[in-house]
Parts: sequence; structure tokens; C-alpha cells
Amino acid sequence: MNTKNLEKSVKSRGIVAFAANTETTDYVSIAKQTLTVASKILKLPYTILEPTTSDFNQRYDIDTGKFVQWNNFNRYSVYELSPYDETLVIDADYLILDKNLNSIFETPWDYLLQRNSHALTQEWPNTMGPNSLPFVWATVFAFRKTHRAKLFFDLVKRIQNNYGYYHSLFNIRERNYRNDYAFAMADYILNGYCINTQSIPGSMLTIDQKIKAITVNGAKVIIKDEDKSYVVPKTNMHIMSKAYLQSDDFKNFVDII
Amino acid sequence: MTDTNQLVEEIRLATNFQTNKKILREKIQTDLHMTHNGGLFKITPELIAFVKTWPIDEIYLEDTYQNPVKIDRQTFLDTAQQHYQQVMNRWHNEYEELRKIRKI
Repeated sequence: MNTKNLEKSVKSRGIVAFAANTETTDYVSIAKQTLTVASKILKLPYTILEPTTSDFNQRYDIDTGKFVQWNNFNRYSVYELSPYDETLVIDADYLILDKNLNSIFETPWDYLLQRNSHALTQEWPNTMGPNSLPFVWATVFAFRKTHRAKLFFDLVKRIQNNYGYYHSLFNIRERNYRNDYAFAMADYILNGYCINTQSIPGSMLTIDQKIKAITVNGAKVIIKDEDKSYVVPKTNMHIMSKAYLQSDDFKNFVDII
Repeated sequence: MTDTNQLVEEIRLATNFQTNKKILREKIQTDLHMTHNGGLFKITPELIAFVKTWPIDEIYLEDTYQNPVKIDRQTFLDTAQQHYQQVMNRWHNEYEELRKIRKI
């Protein structure tokens, strides 16, 4: 086999997000908008994937203060479903506003997770439980179609299917299944039961409160909630307010970007 | 919007200077990363000073992923200095804008 030629061959690269509508949230519409922005900023094609199961989990909705439906199962199937050799996977509510994620593809790895996050109004815990693993965020991650990446997603599948066992084994605080936890556990096991240091560079900004409006002013983004305004740089952000992501204000924001 | 409402809105904006400053710093810490020869490096004054003073042109540097990466000293130095200057200038400009908003 001429490996030299293989190394030089052009690999396909793109962005994918899973989206399945629920009773309360139009995830497909949200994903279309966030992926449109991501595609424009990173100059990469995108694909919306349907979850391979119709089972629903629950998530806490910050807009209503209630638990609502959410299909976050079977994220491991992204390895099989992604049409790209190199894939950036984002949640539908992850907004890409800078080009930093392009540079991660210039370094060697099989999969790359987001390990650090900071929020506008609160401090996140560092670990997934009092005596558990450090947090990992499945909101944004990348992988290449390699044997090691396949092992990682196979492990995530095993953890999801036996979540009660792994939840107890790793002293996870919450009982609800989260991909963040499954990814952290799979990563830890695959790394020889050691903490992995490879990470998407930097810390992910999470907008963790109800949002009234987001506007762009030059290099600044102004985020208004019910009480205050925040001026942040044009940076990637995880927007937890699904009500805002379905609003006309967000549609206008996407048009301006 | 009336003048009073505008003023109230601007004062609210001003109260969050510390949060705004913190978020801007986080973004700059991310932007300081640079890829070179398949390695990922966070460009710091210490790294620039080390590379500048090292007497041999071919060196191995540990990158953010804890891998040793072979670099050409001068090429790396030029790129790193340029990257650092660019990011720090942007930080200064954006920080000054935040300070102006605070003075309202």
C-alpha cells in the first residue's frame, strides 16, 4: 500500500448536529440556523442527523423551569452516520462565531472533546460528582474515522446501554443520562483509566439564563437577559435558552451574521 | 426608548464590567493558541523568551497535548511573535472598549 499517497489524499470535513423535534422545542429549525452560521464562519459543509431512536429523555428547561422532552440518546451513532472523514459535532444550541475550531484539524488526534466551560451567571462544578471524574462537555467535539475513535463511540454505546452500572461506578451526581458523563467515562477508560489531557483549546462559554436579545456591534456581542446586559467578544457559545433560539430575534441575529 | 430608559439600560450594562472582562480574557486565552508542525501551542511571553534565547536552531517543544514537536527556532519565533502581538493588540482594543462602556 502506498501510504504516502493516502496521507496526501484530500479528506472530507464537515459539521454535523443531531436534531429531533419534541413537544416543546423545534430542534430541527434551531439546528438549521446554528449550522448555517457555523458553516458560514468555518467554511465547511454541514449535515443534520436524525437520532436513531425515538425514545425521549428529559432536560431541565431554563425558560419554563420545568422538565421537558429531549432526545439525547445514541450520540455514539455519529461515527457511522457522519458522511465526513473528519467531523465536528455540535449540539443544535451551540453557536459558532469564531474560526478557532478550524485549527484543531491541523493537529493529530482520533477524537477531541471540550473539557472546560464557563458560564455567564454561575460557576460550574469541576467534577461530575463529589468523588467523580472531571467534567467533559459533549456540546462540541470532533473525531476522525479511525479505529480508536470507533472504540470510543463503542464504549459510549456500552455505557449508555448499562448506564445504571456506570453511573454508580463513577459516582455521578445526577441520575439522568447525559452524554457529557458517558463521554467522560468512555474517554477515561479508553485512556487506560487516566485523565486525558487532549482537549479542544480554551473554555466554552455557556449562556445559562433566559435571554431576551442578542445583538452584534462590531467585534462585540451584546447579550440581554431579564435584568442585565453582557458585552462579550465574538466567541463560540452554548445557548441554553431554547425559547430564545426559536424566537424571531434569533432569526434576525442569524441573518446579520 | 426615552432618555431615562436609555440611561437605565446603559447603567445596567456598566454594572457587569467584571463579568465582561472575565469573558473577554477567556476568549483571549483560547485565541493565544497556535498550531505549528502538527502541534498546538499556547503562545506565552515565557515561551517566546525561551525560544528567542535558545542557542540551537532545531528544538523539540512540548505542545499543549504533551507531545514533543520538532520546530525550526526562527520560523516558530516569527510566527509566534506575530500571533502574540495580534491577539494582545485585539485584547487591548476590546478591553478599552469595555472600559469606555463602564464609564457611562
